[in-house]
Amino acid sequence: MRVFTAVIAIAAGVLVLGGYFFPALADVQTLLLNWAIILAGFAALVGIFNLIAVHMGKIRGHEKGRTYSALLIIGLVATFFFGMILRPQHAMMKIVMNGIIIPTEAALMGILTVSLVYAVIRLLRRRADMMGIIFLVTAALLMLGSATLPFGNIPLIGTLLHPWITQILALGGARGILIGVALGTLTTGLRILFGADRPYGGN
Amino acid sequence: MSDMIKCPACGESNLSDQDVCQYCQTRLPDVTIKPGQIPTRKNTAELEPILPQWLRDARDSAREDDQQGAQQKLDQPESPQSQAASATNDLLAGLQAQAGNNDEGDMPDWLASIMDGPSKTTNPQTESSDTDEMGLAGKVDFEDDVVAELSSDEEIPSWLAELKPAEPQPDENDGANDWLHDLERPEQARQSELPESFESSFTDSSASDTPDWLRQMAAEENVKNEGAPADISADVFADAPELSIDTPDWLQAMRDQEEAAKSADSEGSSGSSFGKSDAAENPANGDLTDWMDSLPKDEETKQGAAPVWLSNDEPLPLSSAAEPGDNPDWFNSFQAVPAFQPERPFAPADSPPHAESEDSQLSDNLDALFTDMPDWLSDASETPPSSNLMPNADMDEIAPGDLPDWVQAMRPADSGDSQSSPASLSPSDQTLETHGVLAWLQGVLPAAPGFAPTSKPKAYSIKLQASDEQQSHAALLERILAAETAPVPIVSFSVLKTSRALRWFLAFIFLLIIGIPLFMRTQIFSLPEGVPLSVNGAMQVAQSIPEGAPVLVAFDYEPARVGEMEAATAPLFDQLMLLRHPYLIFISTNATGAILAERFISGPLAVHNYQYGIQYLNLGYLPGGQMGIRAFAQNPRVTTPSDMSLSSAWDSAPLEGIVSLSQLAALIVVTDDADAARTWIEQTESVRGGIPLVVISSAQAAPMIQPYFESWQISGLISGLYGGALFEQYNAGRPGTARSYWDAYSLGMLLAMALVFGGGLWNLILGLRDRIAIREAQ
Amino acid sequence: MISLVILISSAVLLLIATIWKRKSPAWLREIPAFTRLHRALGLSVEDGTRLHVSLGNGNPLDARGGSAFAGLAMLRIIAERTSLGDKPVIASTGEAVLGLLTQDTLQAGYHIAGVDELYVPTMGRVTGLTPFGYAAGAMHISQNEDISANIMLGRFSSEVALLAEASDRDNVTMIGASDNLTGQAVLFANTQDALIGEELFAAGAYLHAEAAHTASLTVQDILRWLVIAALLGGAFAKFVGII
Repeated sequence: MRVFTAVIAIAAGVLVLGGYFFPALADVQTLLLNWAIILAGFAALVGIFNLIAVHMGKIRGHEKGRTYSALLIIGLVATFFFGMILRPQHAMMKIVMNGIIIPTEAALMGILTVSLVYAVIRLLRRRADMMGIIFLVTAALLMLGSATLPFGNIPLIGTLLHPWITQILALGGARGILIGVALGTLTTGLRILFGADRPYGGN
Repeated sequence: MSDMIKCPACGESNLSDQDVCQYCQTRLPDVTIKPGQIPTRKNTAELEPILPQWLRDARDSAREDDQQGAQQKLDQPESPQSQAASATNDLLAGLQAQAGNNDEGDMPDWLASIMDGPSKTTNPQTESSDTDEMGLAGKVDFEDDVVAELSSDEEIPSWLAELKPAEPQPDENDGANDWLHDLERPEQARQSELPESFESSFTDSSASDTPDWLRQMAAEENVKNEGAPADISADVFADAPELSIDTPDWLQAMRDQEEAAKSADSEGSSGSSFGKSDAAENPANGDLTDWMDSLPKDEETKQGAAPVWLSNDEPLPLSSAAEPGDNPDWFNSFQAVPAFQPERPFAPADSPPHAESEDSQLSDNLDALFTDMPDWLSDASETPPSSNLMPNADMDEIAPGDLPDWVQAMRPADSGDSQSSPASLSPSDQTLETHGVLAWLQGVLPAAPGFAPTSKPKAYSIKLQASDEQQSHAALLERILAAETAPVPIVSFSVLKTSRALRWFLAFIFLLIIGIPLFMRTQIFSLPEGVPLSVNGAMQVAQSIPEGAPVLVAFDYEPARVGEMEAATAPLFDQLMLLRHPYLIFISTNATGAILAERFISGPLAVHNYQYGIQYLNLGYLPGGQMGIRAFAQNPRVTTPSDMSLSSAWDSAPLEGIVSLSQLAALIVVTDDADAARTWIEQTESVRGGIPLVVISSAQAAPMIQPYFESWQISGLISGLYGGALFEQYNAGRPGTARSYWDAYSLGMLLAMALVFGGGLWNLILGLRDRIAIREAQ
Repeated sequence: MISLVILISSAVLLLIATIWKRKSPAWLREIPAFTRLHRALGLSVEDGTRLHVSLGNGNPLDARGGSAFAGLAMLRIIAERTSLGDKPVIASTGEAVLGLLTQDTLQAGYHIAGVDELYVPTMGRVTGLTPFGYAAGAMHISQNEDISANIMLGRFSSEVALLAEASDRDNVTMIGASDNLTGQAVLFANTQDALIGEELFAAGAYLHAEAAHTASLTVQDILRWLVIAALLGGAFAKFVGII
């Protein structure tokens, strides 16, 4: 059975990849992609069900934080039903969105600000090397170049250094990293197409 | 202590120079000789004093007559028969062979002289020095001496005169039995040579010319005839106590035989004690020993002629002579020589010597000497000569059976019964040696290494004698071995302790610094100046869109970045909605994008009062990520047939007839992720045609999207609050969201920069201090 | 056409390198993060604690799927090695499809270890459908499930800072790698040993998965040198006016 799944996975991957290079395989590619989109949508529902199962298990097991698990499940069910019934344009949905979802995540973003500053401050104590110093100095310069002063842009830093760092130094390094990531993604995909790696549960 | 000898019989101590125990007259063992000890070579001249007088005289006469005897021998060569007879019947051949092979010279010279004579090729002087254990200095040829002495006297019997050393024979054994060769000669010759009366020959001889032993023999014979057996042994040992050690066993046997025959044999015989000195003192007795009387008397034997047994040409068969019945008594006495029994005390003093019995005993012995052949002689004759020639290099290889009886009798008496075999030994006698020179010795320690240390063992140092280099190598090896078994320490990672205080401080300071400008709506900090090309391009696109044209808007940012994204997006859409009134089509590849789009239309852009389905359409969530975007780009009608309210999306007037993205006026991607922007750019490039694409991104993604603008893959780029503030200035400050956020944003940035810079420097100092402390501790 | 050539050449190189690595194992340079990972694996089994593996919110259906597959490969190895521990490993994701694959991968790891009966489906969890929602759920696991080490390998953005802060507050070892630049920057500032760039894809090779993983690293190195040569050559050609 595992061999059968491996064959299906490898065949589908080869066809989709071939559809990019050979027009004759474009229709097959489209068909397979449509199937993948449908499965991905159902996968989202499965993920939600998994989330419910985990928290229900916590509630049943009387584990620590089961209250929050109960609140999570209640909110999930309520939002689901309101969305299905009232549609997303409904005012209730907007209240849920504006009152719960967005503030929650915005708050997390704010905490993130403190966490990032805290981490950068303690960076040199964790690793007092040249890379750490360069990282810290670059972050400080970029933050200084992004802000303005009452009298306008910060001279030299805001007008020259900041664009030069972001669009030349950082951009070049970022591109190199992304090229490496792309190469890694390429070899990983080839490994999956060859069957050497079976993340779909094969052995 | 070393000079005292313990008597084996009575246990008393005696001087080492004594031969006989002074208490019980038991022969004392030679302490100078140890079992297994290799006999030391001695000069026989040193033993001269212990020889009896008669033997000394015989040695002297032998020396004098050596040459004369040799000349006589040359003049009277032996007949072949006699030579053969002498060769075969040389009873002393074995003795001669042993004497010749043994460099130590077990055979006395006087005996050797009897057997070999002056014709012996060996250096007589050397031979005498090598073999003269008895101290017989010089060449001692008893036979020659006797013959010479006798020949000098007119009355010397011819038979005795004929007792000359034989011609040198190739066979070494022949020389040993020369004196007995005459025994093999025909009786007639012997009888003719023998005097009629041996006794008369002795008695007629002058005292000066007759050898002592002959005189003694005569005396003994007279004594014997008188019926008084002579205690030869007593006389011998009494007169010459020094001879008690060297007396051969056969002579001892003679003594014993005489004692046994004292009462049985009353026939007188001339004494024939070779070691008896009385014969020298009483030469006038001229008594013959019994053995001489027993000799056959031949009528043809003239006075002075050799006895019949000496004159016989035909050799007497030794085998016949070997029969016990035919052998003389003295021969028979040699066959069974009892071992020396220390328990039997020897008390010659108790029995005074009886001259008569002694003489008769001697005479009988003389007769038996010439008639009866001892067993050892018969064994020697039976033994092939070649066998006797075999050298015995290893004494241990000599089989006990090859040793004659008289040699066996010479073995120490400590072993008890020398005739006993190992099988007859009691279990307590398991240590009996069965071979070698220590054969029949009992109680011999086994030759095991280290069993009996003969000396104090050497003291060796227990310290290891190792050089410095060896010690260093050993230490290195120990370190290597220890490293193999030593556990490898796992590198432990230092964990920096968390600082809640710093977190609280940062949170407080940020809330304070950012909150004040927000609540106070300050506008202290100026907006950024200058319009980058990317923002200018977005402005151009916004102005080029036809009025009422459908514009696809992709809302792909997270709810957490609503503040930034709405501040960056609102100026452009405000201008579009104000000037061009486009038909907006919202779509999203994340689950919350559609909701955020609704929030955006009803929030910052609420002033434009866009109605759903009339001015805008929300296609909702597009699953599949990149695949979904590609699918939508290729066929949007099929991929998203309905909108978020589940009504047909493509039947409304603005979207009627649109089958591909190229029929749209523009594509605007609003995202906080550079990958999402890249995906939209790459997946729609082939189907987008020439429609402009504008990306509105977060400040964190702007650097990754900038190359797309520089490569003209996108028409414009607005990045973060900075870009929104720039565009807002171009849009106459509408809606003003960026302006409201700008002071807080600038202060926050400056604060963050200060905290990062200052705090980082402070922690750098602390970190260096910690490392220095760790390094010093190590 | 160029992309097709690159694709075919990469496939051939991967095949050759896989065969080569099976015969002669490769020597890999030391990466402190993976050394710490090995140590964390052993310690979790010894002291009876749990490992938390976060795979991020990368969608396997798009370009972000490479990091997701790399994380799944590492998850299988970890699951196999810690299957007999007192507390099994927990895997969290922020994407639904990735959540399904996570569960299947855990089951495969336990099957390889021969302890199918110890597998529980809730060991693979979808903690949230948004990045911050996912981060919030992952933080809860890190603080309440007796976690000794947080291993984050996948697609992470700035929300990984929340996980790092939670690990720092609970003195939990954190090992992270992301294919996102923002996530890399955040991990660089928050962890002792950061994995930058394609080091994310070396996790399988350093965990002694298979020869194909080591061969992938070799192919990456070869292609990287080719790209460098192409970039420098193209820049030079543009500079001199050839193109």
